[in-house]
Amino acid sequence: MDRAAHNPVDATSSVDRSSLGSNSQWFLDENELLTELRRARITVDATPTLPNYTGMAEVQRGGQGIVYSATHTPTRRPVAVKVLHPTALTSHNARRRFEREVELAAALRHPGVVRVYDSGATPDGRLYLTMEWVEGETLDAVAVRNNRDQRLIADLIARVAEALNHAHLHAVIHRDLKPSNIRLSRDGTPTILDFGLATASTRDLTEITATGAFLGSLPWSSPEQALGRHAQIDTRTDIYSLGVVLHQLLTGEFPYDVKSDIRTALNNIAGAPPTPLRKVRADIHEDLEVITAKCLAKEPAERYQTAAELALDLRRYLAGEPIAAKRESMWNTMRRQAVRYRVLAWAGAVVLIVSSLSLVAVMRYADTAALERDRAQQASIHAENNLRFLTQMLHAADPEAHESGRDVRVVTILDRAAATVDQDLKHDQAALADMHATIARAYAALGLFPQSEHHSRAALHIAQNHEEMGPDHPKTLEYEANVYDAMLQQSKLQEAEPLLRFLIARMDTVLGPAHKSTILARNDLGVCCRLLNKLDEAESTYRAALASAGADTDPETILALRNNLASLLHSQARYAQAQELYEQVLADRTRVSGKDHRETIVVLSNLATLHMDQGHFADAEKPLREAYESSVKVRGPDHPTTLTLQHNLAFAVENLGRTDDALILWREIVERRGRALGADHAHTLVSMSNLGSLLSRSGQGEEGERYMKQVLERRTATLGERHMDTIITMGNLANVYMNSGRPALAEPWLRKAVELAQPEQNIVPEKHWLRFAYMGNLGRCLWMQGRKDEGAPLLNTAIAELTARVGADHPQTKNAKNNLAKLQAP
Amino acid sequence: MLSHSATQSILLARLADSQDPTAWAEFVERYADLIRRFCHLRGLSDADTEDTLQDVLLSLTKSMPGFRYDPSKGKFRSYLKTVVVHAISKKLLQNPRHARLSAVGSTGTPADEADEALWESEWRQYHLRRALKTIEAEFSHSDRQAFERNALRGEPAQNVADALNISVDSVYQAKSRISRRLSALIRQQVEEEG
Repeated sequence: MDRAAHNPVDATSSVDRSSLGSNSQWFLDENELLTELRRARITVDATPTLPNYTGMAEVQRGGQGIVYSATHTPTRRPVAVKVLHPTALTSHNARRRFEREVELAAALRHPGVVRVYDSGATPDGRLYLTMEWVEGETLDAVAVRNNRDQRLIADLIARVAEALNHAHLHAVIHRDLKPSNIRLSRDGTPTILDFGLATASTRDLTEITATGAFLGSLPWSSPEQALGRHAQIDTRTDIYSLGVVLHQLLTGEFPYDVKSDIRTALNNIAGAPPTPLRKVRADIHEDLEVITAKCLAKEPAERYQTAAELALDLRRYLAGEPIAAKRESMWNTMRRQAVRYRVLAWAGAVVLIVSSLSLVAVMRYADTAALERDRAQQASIHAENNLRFLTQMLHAADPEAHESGRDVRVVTILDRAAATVDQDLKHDQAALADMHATIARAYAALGLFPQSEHHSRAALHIAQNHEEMGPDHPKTLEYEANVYDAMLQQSKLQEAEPLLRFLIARMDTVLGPAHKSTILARNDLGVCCRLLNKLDEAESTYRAALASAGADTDPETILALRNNLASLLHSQARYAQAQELYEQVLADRTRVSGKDHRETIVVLSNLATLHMDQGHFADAEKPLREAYESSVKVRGPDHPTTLTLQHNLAFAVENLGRTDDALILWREIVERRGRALGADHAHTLVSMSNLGSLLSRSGQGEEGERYMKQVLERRTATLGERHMDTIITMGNLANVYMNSGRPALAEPWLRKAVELAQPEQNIVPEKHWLRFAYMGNLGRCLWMQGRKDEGAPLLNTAIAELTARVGADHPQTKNAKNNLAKLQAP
Repeated sequence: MLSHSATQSILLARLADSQDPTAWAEFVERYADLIRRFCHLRGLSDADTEDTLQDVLLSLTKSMPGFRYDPSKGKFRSYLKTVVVHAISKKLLQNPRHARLSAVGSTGTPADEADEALWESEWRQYHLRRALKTIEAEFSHSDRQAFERNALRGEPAQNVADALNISVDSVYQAKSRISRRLSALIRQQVEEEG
């Protein structure tokens, strides 16, 4: 028999197969059995013998492989040897990939990162890795031993994040972080193990499922891993996993159910909101809750962008300083060139509290979940294009850049380019500046803004000092704009504003106001002002930009500007002007992108929201229907965005009094959302709540009550009582009871809702009308039970407070007054 | 369901019987390696192998409710081979340049015999590996080492006994006990699968 390559599946090895009989009882004969074993070169005892290592003793067995303790003979150092289970992909490619990963991991030098010494293949062809021997406890053991002390945990995780950051800066992503992968070394330093293995053995979910390895790591895997979006897996994936670890160490639980079955787990990871920390443990500091939530954001762009930032925020919490995460949340709800689903401020009568506030919740969720995911996907395609471009450039320069696209991580290529570019191009400064700018753009497309800023500054610096360019050269100005754009993305708003102004002034002179760069810079300034709440300045900036746009300004830029302006006006309740603009944008967008296009759908939806904000449901219906039908075509009927639009449509139809149509829609939505997102998902509950309410108001109280109870039970279970949505549901259930003539059942719920809505409870904002609406309802409830002397004062107070706070014309006030009138009627 | 844009790699997870995720995982784990090896031997690239694996698993889930094979269809070994060969042929027809060995042929041609021999070889290995997992759990390190060195590699029993600090008799015992156990395990496996 020819012993060809190590590779047992190499097709060129000439295995003598002619002697294989069709002996179906081959295993009964000892000799044949042994022959077969030899032929297959299978080992019975798996402990490999490696040169230079003695005393191999099995220590642990896992999904990926077996860990042995051993001694490195030449240095007498104790090491851990991890031998990977044989996978069928012991092909040349997989080997090379593994070796490259190990190379990168071996270059890491940080006390918090396990040292990787060596790698190779065992005589029987399995890959192995030798690492520093780290003895100590795993993080979860330490946490338990210390009663899950939150400050201790925060400190440990901060140190882990710092170590992780080191790895990231050296282009290594871990991809499999979990508590069992982090141990305390002898001096108490938390050390991250197992770098450099994720690629070798866990490529995609099929292989992962087959080897069982990933199933073990499923609870810590990020949405992008769960959805199989390889192009999106980057440093922020690790940050998500660290968020899960943080949650786990603090509570002993996972942020959502990831244990019952694969499909539920994947759905939850991809779409379910994580359980707030304080719901599980009331004594956890608010800042820690915010920090953890930020790590667990579904969209990578909304998490901490670097592990260093996470570490910083944890340290700020420990020092009692304000954390950055809270400051940024405003930015996260709006972005450059953003067109958003709008928060619905309108609220109907008390009985309609359900629908309106549910809509608020829907809009809020649609904001982050559906819309961002679409855009992230587009950004990911964008990133792939950039990557291809860069790869081609690098290929010319570096003949060893073999693979492109998915096989080599983006960060690797970019960091390599970044590291060598100064050297390679030092004789051609102009090209060097351009290269830095390109790299900056690539980082930006990936959402890595600190790195993007760094390279933009590098480009700027070179250009400013270049003989033939200088600070006012058009290219230099462009580089400068990129720097500020990256700053904006990192919420450095106050710094960026004056710099942008100065830049625009120079751009006006050098490039002219109609130049694309000038207009874009103005757009950035507009967004900046808006986020700083300087609304008038934001408006004048947008208008100035639009005024300077010429015939040759590209339509996308104009659309973006108009969008932003319309959105601004909308938020200021300047409805007429906003509407005019939206309609213009819609017409242009339809012309540029066509009817069935994501961007068109967004504008249609915004326009519909505008109408609904003013209570003009008839006007809202047509654009909503169009948006919904387009979304069905573009994304499919079960896509979260489509479902949101359908939900909004049902809401509009309900408000137009077409109860039967609305009921059909609500039922459909509840069923679809239940299937697509799960029965416990926040969106599903919102729709269910609306369905229950409408049923109750249209004579099908029994069914309505069932739905409402379900919603209340689930919300109490997942969010806890001390959550606005749960309180609203209590009020809704009370309404259902009152509608069916059982005020006695409504009373305890209303009392509870009123109590929880008090300002001291810190759940409902002080200014919100909610507690007075409920107070009024409670008054009505008592009156209905014949306790007029208890109920009347409550109802009157409610009316007075509502009038004072939101005005006599507000639907809540009107409703309360109506209720009073009905009760007083003979 | 997750949205239409869900990538194919989670398709299998979606198919997973949500009542019994372990059964599914075991099923996949059991056969994935075997199918992959065979694909590689037939000259498929990594990517095409993965595709083919998915196709095969998908079609198995459709034809095997509850992942139980109906023995009236004939031996599972042959049935699985048919499914796999069919999937590979389909793949090769799509991408003819990926085939390294002469591959696609209709019944009775040499290609078919080569397939059969390949499959038999891989099949036996699959059974051996599976049985060996149990051996690893049931037998001591010393027994296994003895078997490995003496029975498989042919080292003289005395040498092995000295190296492992056991008697020569123990070395022979290890050989016969492990062989018998392997036989029994594989027989059981073959019976179970149908």
